[in-house]
Amino acid sequence: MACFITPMSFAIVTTIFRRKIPENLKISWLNIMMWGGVIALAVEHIVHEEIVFFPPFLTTMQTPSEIPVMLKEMAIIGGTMTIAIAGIWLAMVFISKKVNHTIINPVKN
Amino acid sequence: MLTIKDFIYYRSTILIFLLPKFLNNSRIFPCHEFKKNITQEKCIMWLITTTITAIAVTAIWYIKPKTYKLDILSLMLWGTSIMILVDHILGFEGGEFILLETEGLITNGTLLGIIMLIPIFIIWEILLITSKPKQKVVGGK
Repeated sequence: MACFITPMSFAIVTTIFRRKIPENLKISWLNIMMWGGVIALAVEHIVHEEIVFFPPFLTTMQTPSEIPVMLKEMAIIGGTMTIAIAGIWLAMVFISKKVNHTIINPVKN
Repeated sequence: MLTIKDFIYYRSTILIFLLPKFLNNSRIFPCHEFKKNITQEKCIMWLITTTITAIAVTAIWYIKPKTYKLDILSLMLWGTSIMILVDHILGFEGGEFILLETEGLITNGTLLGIIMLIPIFIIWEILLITSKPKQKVVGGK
């Protein structure tokens, strides 16, 4: 329905505050992954006629009884998407730091 | 002279376009068989298409020079793959996992997968052109 709105909101926040986040956290990786997924999912939703180019833009908004279902989907599926991407980003940052550390400080025998 | 790296690069590019077509007609994901019983294609081909493209682009990124900004493209594709996977896992309502009904303007899952990739490739090309990598590759200042 509109699950991509949650990661999109998260991506907007992280993109706005990207300069305030430490550089070693590689926030650009998170932003790129988020925006890539959001753009592709938006296309999928347009093709499935869940997004329209006229108000209220989301087809579920036209039926008031479906709004709670949409909000639930945004929270559960959208929230899980955001957590999954953020988890992979954290894993990538952790691995890259580990690899760099190994290269700079090789283990002494 | 064609090097091994160039050969892998061209082969990967061909695979991006041919593999979804092969999978669609193969015994692994035979979408055409399900068409007999339902009116619309049920295979989640756009997940398969995006993941294959992400794997191929990551492989090319590892081989080719970093001036092509393939890291950005592969990150965007991996982000898309993860989001689609989560969407399908949580939206799964029993039955066979690989089957999900497709509705809307496009009923062909493979075509939808390719269309979903178009804006990502456009953004990557804009980033690539604005960073002027050609000068770096050719050897200009």
